[in-house]
Amino acid sequence: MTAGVLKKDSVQDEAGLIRAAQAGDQLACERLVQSYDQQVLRLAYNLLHSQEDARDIYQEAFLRVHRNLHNFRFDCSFHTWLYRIVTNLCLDLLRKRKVRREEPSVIATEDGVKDRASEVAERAAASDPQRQLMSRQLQDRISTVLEGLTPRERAVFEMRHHQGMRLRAIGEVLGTTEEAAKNCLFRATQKMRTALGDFV
Amino acid sequence: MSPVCQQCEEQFSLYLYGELEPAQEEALEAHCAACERCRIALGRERELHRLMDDSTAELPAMLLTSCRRDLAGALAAEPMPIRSWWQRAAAWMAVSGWKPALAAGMLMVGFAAGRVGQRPVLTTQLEQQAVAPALVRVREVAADNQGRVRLVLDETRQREVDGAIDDARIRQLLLAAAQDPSDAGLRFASVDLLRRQPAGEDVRRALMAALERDPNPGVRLKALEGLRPFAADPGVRQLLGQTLERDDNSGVRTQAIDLFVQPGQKDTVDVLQRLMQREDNTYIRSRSQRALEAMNASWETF
Repeated sequence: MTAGVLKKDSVQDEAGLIRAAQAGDQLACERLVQSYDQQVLRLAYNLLHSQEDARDIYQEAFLRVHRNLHNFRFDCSFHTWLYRIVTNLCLDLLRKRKVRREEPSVIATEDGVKDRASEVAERAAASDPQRQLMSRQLQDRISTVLEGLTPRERAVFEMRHHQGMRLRAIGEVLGTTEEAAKNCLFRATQKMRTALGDFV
Repeated sequence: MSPVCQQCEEQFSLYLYGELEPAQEEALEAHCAACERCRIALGRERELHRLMDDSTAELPAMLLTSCRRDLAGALAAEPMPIRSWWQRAAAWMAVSGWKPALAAGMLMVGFAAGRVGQRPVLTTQLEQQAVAPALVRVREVAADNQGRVRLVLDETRQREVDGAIDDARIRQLLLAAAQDPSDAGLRFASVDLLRRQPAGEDVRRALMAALERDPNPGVRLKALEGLRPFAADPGVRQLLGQTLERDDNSGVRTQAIDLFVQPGQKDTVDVLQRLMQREDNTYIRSRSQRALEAMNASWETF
């Protein structure tokens, strides 16, 4: 692909990649997307528990990146900017679901519709029936707690516990302070502790 | 429970996340070393964190691949973002370095100053007349003694053409638009319409050219869809093999392997064996492996 060939110096770092993409280099844009898209999809999938919603968020987020990349001014990291777009889209959808009272506890899979908890339980449990039962109960409990978290608590918990982001960065993504993100995480883990206490 | 124990317990979670200040961390560790109750409580918190690890779900297989494929199509259909001239210039300067940009800028300023000096010669009437056509080129300029100027203009006007999808004239225009280097969205739409045309030699050639040379992955994906009826053609098969080995977009390669692997086609073995050596994409590797197994061929080259 001759048209998309990147100059060596422009792929050295992410800033070079962003600048090349801003100048219209499609290959740079594609590489930028592919360096983050798995994390983005994982975040959306874990927050929304729906393949279709995660797919929609993925597409909408990267279309917004494509449309607005020329306005990106390096005021924050690209990661923060991208996650701000993704979490805003997810939070909006979660809030709409709350209003419509349609929080699904099931997910669509290639083998049909499944309870999300059972999917994780099957992965985690051994063939031992007692352990399987325990695992199933644990997953039910975790699903219930996750559904009981506010959209913001859920986003903070997901970004901190599963994506390993620092609270300061999470605060930047959510447009709030590190302290507020810390409080959200505290409330989320407190709810988990209360619900899972007898498993510990 | 002492106030110190209570304060420690509230910090266990942040401690395990590594979010405490170094001084707070040291104080907590020192306290736990001396307090058995808090040591046990910290162990329970650690176990809680381990249980919470199970609150994540694995991404379903192929979800990422299909998302990437859909995104490539959606991006190809998107118009180019509208940017002001200074944004384009700033982006270009950032990529190219500021010295050549500055030199070019000075040249442009000099040129513009020269043009402004001559401006009274061109009447406002000309500007009004020149607004209507899409493109205007001044071919000839002449002045008379009364200060009037005569210009000969080449004008390109927009015109609408419509017709049935299988109309030969429409087909020729689509074939030309499918190669327009300036507009990926136009190429995407044209290739999409061409693939719905009756299978013909000119369409096959245009789709092959798009798959081989178009810089936009969305257009290449559309071309691949259009080449489906020609999947048994030797020229197309050779191009599919090249695409699998050379295309830098995994979405395109993923679609190409589905078209390339056909029952009874033994010409795939060499390409599939080479893919097993170098391909990073899990789906393409597993598809190649299954096809090689079905043909009783080795996964490796010797």
